[in-house]
Amino acid sequence: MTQHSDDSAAVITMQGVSKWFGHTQVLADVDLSVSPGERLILCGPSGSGKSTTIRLVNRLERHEKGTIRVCGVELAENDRDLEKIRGDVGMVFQHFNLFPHLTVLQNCVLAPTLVKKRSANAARDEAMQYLERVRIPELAHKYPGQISGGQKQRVAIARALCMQPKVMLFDEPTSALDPEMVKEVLDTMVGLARDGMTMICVTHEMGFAREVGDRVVFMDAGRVVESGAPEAFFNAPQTARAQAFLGQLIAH
Amino acid sequence: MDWITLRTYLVPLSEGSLWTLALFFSSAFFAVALGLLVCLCRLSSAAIPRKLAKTYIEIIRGTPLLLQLFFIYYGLPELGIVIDGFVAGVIGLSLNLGAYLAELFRSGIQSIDSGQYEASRALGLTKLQRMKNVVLPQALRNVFPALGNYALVLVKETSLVAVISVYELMRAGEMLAGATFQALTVYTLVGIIYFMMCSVVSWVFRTSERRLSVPGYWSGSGENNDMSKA
Repeated sequence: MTQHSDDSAAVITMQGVSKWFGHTQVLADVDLSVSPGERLILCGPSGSGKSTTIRLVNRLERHEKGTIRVCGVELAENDRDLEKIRGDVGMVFQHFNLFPHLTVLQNCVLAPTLVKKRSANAARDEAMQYLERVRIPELAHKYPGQISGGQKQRVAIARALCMQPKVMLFDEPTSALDPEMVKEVLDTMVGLARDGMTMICVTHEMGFAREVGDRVVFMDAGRVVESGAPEAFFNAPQTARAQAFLGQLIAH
Repeated sequence: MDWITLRTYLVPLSEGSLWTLALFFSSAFFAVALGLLVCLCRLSSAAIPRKLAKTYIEIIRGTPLLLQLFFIYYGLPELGIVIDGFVAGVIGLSLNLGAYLAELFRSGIQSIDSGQYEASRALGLTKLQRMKNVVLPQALRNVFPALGNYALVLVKETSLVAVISVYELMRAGEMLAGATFQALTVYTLVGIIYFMMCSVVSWVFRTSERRLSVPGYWSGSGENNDMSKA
C-alpha cells in the first residue's frame, strides 16, 4: 500500500480498523492514512464499506477494533473531544441533509454560532463568503425547499466549510443528483481541492477522481483491496476485483 | 327580551365562560408540559421511564375521561386525598390530554429523517442543541395541525367537569336552565359561546400555522404537506 507520507504528519490515520453490524463484519483490518492537503478517492462496489469508513472519521459510526486518529486525537470510547473533532471534520452527504425549516444562510450559521460560539454578525459574514465561494450568495434567504438539488449540495458544502474544517468528507455527493446538476457540484469540489483542502471523497465520478485525486483507494467486502495513483488505478488496475468493478463502471 | 331578563342570563353565563377559559388554559399548559415530558420518557433509552410512560399512556387512553374525573374527585377522597373541584378538573383534563399529546409529539419526533440527526451530529451540535434547533422545530410543524384539533377537543371537554360540580360554562347553563325553565334558550346561548371560543382557537392555530410555514415543506394551508426530499 502506498503511503503518501509518514504517519506522524497525517491528518487521519486508521490502523487495523474493524467494524461489525450485528454479526456482519463490514470493515476488516482497514489501514488508511491521509496527509494534509491530500485528496483521497474511495471507491468500490456498494456494501464495500467505503461510506462506513468515512463515517467512522467523524464518529457517526463507532469502530470496534483498531485505532483511528483524527488531527492528532484518538477516537476512543469516551468522546470528550467529540464536538471538537466534528468541528475539524466537515461532511457532505448524498442526500444533502439541509435543515428544511431554516434558510440557506441560517443553515450555514447554525453550527458556527452554537458550537464555535461565533457572534451572529461574524458567522453571517463568514457564511456569505462561503456562499460566494460556492457561487450562490443570491440564495442566502431561500429555503432548501425552494432550490435545486445541485444548489442544495453546494449549500451543504458551504455549511460544512463554515465550521472551517481541516478535512472534508464527501459521501457520494453527486449520486442523488440529476445528471445536469452533477457538474456544478463537482466544479465546486475541484475548486476546494485547488485551494488545498484535505478531502476524502466516496465517489464513482472517474473524471473527477482523475482530475483532483492524489490517490485512489479501492475497497471490497470491507477491506482495502488496492490503492494507487488515479491514472495507474484506472488504466491498469492490479486486482481482479478492481478490474471487474471498473469494467462495470465503464460498461455502465 | 328586556334588559333585566338579559342580565339574568348573561351574568352567570359570562362568569361560567371565564371559569371555562381558566380550565382550558391551565389544562392546556399542564397537558403540553406533561405531554413533552412523557414523550421524552417514552423515547428514552432507559427502560424504567420508557415503561412508566407507556403504562401511563395505555391506562389513560384505555379508560373514559368521565371515569378519570370521577376517580379523582369521588374516588381519591376514600384514600384521604381530597381535591377541590376545579383543581381535580384541571388534573383530570391535563392527565388525559397529556397522554394523547405524548403520542402526538412522539410521532412528530419520529417523523424526522435520520439524515437530520446525522447532519447535526456531523456539525458538532450537542444532543440538546440537536433537539432544540433541528428536531423539535420540524416536529412541531409536522404535528401543528393535529395540535389544533386537540385544542378544540379540550375546549369542549372542559364541559365534562360539570359532572364533578365544577362551576364553568356548562354548569352555569344547567343551573340557569333549572332556575328559568328556559332550557332551549339557555342551551342555545351556551352553544353559541362554545362555538365562539372554538372559532377563536381555530383562528389562532390557522394564523400560527401560516406563520410557521416554510416554502416547499410546510405549506401552512394544512394541505399538500410535502415532506419528500428533492
